[in-house]
Amino acid sequence: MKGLIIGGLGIFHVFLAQFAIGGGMLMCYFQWLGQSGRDRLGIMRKFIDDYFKYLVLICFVTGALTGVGMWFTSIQISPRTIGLMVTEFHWLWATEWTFFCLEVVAGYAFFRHGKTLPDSIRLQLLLTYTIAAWFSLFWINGILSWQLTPGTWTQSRNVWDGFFNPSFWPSLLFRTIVCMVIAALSACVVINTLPLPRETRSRLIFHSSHFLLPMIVMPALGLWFVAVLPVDSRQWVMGGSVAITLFMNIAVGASVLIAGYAIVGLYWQRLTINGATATLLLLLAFGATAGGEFVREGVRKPYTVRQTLYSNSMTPNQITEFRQVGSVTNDPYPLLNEERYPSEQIRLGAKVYRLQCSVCHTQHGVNGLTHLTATWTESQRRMNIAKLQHTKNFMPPFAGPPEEVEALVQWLAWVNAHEPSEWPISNDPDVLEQIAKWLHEASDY
Amino acid sequence: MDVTFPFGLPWPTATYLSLYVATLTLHMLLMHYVLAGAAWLTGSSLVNLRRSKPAQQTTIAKALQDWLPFALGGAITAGVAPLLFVQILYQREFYTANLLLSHRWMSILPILILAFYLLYLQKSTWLNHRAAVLKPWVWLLITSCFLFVGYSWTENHLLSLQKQDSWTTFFAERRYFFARWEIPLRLAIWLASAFTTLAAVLAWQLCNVPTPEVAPISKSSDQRDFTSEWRGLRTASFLAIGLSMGLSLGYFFTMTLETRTIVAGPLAWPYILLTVAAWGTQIWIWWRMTAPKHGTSRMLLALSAAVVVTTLGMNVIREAIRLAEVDLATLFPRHADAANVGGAGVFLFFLILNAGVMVWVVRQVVLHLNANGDH
Repeated sequence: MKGLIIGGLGIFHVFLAQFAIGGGMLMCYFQWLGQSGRDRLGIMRKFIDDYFKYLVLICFVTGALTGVGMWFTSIQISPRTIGLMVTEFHWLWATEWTFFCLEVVAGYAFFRHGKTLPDSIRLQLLLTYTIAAWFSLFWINGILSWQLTPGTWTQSRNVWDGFFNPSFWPSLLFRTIVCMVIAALSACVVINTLPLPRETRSRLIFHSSHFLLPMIVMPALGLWFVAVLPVDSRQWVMGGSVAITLFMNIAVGASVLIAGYAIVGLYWQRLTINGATATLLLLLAFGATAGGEFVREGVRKPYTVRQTLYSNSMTPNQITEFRQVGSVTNDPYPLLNEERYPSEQIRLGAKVYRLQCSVCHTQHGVNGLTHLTATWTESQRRMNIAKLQHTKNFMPPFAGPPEEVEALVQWLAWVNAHEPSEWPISNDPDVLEQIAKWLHEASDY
Repeated sequence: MDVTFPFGLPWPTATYLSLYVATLTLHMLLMHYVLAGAAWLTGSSLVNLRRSKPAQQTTIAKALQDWLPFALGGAITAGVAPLLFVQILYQREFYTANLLLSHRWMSILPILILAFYLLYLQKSTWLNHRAAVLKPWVWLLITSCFLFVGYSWTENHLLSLQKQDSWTTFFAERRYFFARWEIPLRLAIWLASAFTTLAAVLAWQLCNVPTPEVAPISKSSDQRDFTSEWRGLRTASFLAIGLSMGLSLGYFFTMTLETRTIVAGPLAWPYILLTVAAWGTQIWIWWRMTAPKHGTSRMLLALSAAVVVTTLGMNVIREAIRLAEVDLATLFPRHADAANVGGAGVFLFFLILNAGVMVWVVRQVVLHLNANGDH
């Protein structure tokens, strides 16, 4: 559930950030058209100034703050993950910050004074803004792609091995094209909001459509990206996980629709486009971004940092340790409303749920454990949880001794039974021994 | 704690602490302008509302209204770096405070977005044409948003200084607020010092860097007379410095003896001295600058330097109070591990390069504007 929050905010932020980057590229292109004599209608300067207003109002405000929001949300959801990312890449993140500062300075300089500046300085400012914005993508892309494909970093722990990881380049190039697409489609929306003659509007839309042409190479980049994925992650994209395959298809389908309309309609046949259609295409691009980001987040499972940190913030070493001492033995935080639990065992189960499950699962709602386990028999619950990584291969291994498995099983049964005030304690040594065998069979931990 | 900050600490800890304090100072200076600027406009517009015939917008009000959105953008951008370094320095403490305050803490984001858009709304002709009477209340809302964000940061900071027992109690009691008497006191100190920064920046704006909507001061005889606004700035600055000093002194005597000993000890006393000297310098400069014509570049540079030193000194003292509360030695290994990862050279290279490009960008624009007599 918590993952959905960061996913939602992440998609929104990524969309705005990519608009900021692509918008800069588009304005550079339009400025170049304007000052190189290709702007017969003399409309480029005015359009760039209008377009930049939207960009500042959207990206410099909501985009910047949702960026900070991503950090805060990540802390809320998985402090260990963001902590590891910050520790490993803080110098590169600080480098990104210097580009972010440059982006803001160049952007505001253009925003405040662009109208009065000569073309050459306008282009310099726009280029500076765009390069800075694109480099912020460059740095953050390395950190995000490292989560999925850390490559040789897992052995060397070298920051550059992690940064220039297997999915770095396909991801960077793919995202760069996405930036251009979002910029072009948003330009089509802006163009339709301006009081321009039809010919002028058509001309601007035609120029904008040039930024949609690189979509032709998107399939190749997408295949490159899929090819460098770890085998298990690739299987989920290729049908192993219904949800991930579905979102992948949404992303691909939306992209195909946009590319088809752009290349055949806007570029080839030089059709114009009205505000409603442009908005629809932009929403499709948002859908494609959402689908793509969902897939990127989804195929990482059961890790948040592959082979290093599981999605419930456990490291492989910790699992070994927790199998011995218990995962919640040293948890300093009590349960809320402790008195409602009928026994110490159920309290233990609730604590195990809180630590190991609640980052992805609710009790009764989205991805609710009660729904997922309602039809399992008690024995099935014990085995499925003890062998969790085999039950579903996007689940992390259970990190605790047999007593914690049994406590979680009893807590689940108690919750499924609508939380009665009394519940028998389950401490049959044979059951615990069987759970220990299953835990052992399932892994080396 | 027997050597002056940041010396005497292992080099990774000293480096991260220095970077944290330096970038926090940059963030604070911009934040001061935003917070005090919004408060100034709230006060002046509410006073104006009481008049039977509304006075014309002052030069200061125009300048503030024009520059506040950019300053807020700058403050948010500058705030990213200290947010990064605090996660290296005090990861567990900072994350715990964030998690405990949870949704309450996260609410600063929509509130900041709201304040940001309201700043742009205040600049728009839409609001001016339709509901000028609303403006003071919109300013009040904006200032309240900033105060809430400041309150939340202070609350988060103080919660991060607590020990595990307090965190456990806070969680068990399902509290949403970490109420402490230090919060209003600290907020008041920051708010007062924000006005000293604001006064210094506005002095520059009145004397040298007029905004497009603000009539530039020329050397000619028909220059606009800013004397009354200047007098307001001086008074505000004197009051703000006096309040900052008084409140800081009061806060110092409310600290525990242990904390006070560390803060007044070798770790921070040179910074206390530096801060007091910088306050003194500010008073002296404002005393000398009785009118805008006295605002020479040299005086304004000295004033700005004093403001920067004051903010830096206060940030080091703030950090010294934290160091008195946390067991820093237990964090040394973490800092050493973090310092072992690569990329510091790349950061340094791009920091210098991009700072140079930023100067070049501003210079390009300023040269062109000056060449055309266009402001």
